[in-house]
Amino acid sequence: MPDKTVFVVDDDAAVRQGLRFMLRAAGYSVEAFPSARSFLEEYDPRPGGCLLLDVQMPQMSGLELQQRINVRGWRIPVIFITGHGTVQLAIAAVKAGAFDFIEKPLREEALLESIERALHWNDRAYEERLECATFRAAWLC
Amino acid sequence: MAAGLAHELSQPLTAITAYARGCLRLLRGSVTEPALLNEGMTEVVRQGERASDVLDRLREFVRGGEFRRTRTALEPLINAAIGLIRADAMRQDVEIATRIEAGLPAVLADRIQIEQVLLNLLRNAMDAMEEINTECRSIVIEARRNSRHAVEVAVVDSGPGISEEVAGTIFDPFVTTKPLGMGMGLSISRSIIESHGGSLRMTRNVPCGAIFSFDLPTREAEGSIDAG
Repeated sequence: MPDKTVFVVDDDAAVRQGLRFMLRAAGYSVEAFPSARSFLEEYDPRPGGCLLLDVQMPQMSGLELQQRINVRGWRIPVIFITGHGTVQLAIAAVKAGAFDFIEKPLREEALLESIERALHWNDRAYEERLECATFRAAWLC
Repeated sequence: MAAGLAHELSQPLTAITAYARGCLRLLRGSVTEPALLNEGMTEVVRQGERASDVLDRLREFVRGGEFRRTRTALEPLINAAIGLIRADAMRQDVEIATRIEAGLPAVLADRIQIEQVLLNLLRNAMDAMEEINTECRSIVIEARRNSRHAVEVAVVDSGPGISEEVAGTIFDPFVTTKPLGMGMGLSISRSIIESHGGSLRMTRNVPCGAIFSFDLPTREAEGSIDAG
C-alpha cells in the first residue's frame, strides 16, 4: 500500500520544522531533511509519497537533487519551493520532470492542493505499475 | 529590495505562516493539544523576532534615514566619507587617495546612504588589507562620467582580492569573510545602490586586489548641469 508521507528538504531549520508542523497538523506524516545529501543517504525508496524541495540550498541545490533522483529512477513527485522563483528556474525544473513549483511565502491552500495532487498522481502511477506487473503485458506499458 | 534581503525576510515569514497555520488547525480540531500549540506559538514568536532582527540590522545600517534623493556633488561626499574613516586608516597604515574626474556632474542621490555605502566599501577594503605588507596598503576612490546620464564610483584596493569561492555569494546577506562580521554590509549597500537605479559590482584589480564600483544617475535635466 503506497504511503502518504510528505518528504521535506530545506536547509533552513525554521522553514523545515515549520512545514513539518503545519503538515502534521493537516494530517500528513512528514519526514524532514536538512540537505539534499542527507535525503539521498536516508531516503528509502518506496511507493507513494511526495517531495517538497527547496531550490536554493548550499552544496547541492534542489535542481541537482532532482537530477540525482531521476538518475536513480526514484518515482517520487517533486514539488519545488523557492523564495525567488524565476521563469528560467521553473522551466528547468519542469523540463526535468518537476510535479509543481510553488513560491515562498507559501500559501497553505496552494501547497496542500499541490501535495494532494502529487500523492494522488503517485498512487495512480503505483497502481498502474502494479497492474502491468500483474498482467505481465510489458509491451502495453 | 535586493533578492537576498527579500529571501532573508521570507524565510522567517514562511516559518511563521506555517506554524500559525498548524496552530489554527489544531485549534479547530476536536482535540486540542496544549503542548503542541505551545511549541507552535513559541516558534511563531521566535521567528517573528528573527525577522525583526533582520530589519534592525538594516535600519542600523542606513541610520533610519528616509530615502531623500537630492542633487549631490560627489567630491565633497567622497571626502566626507574618507574623513570619517581617516583615523582608522592611519592606524592601519592605509593610504587613501582619490581620482575624481574634473567637471563631474552632480548626481541624484541620498547623501547619507551613499556615504554609508562608501564607508562600508572602505572598511571592507581596509579589513581585506590587514593581512598584507603595510607598504602595499592603498585604496583609491575613483569617480568618472560613465555615460551621459551616469557617474561611476569605484573603490579600488590592493588587498588579496576576493577568492573564487566567495565571489559568487559576496553580495548575499550573512555572507562574510570577517570573523566578527555580520555579512550585511554588501547586501545592504547593493540594495541602496539599486534603489538609486544603479548597480554595485565587483571586479578584480590588476595585479591584485578588488574593485567595487557602482553608478549613480546624474540629475535628469534639459540643460547641462555643472558640479555643485
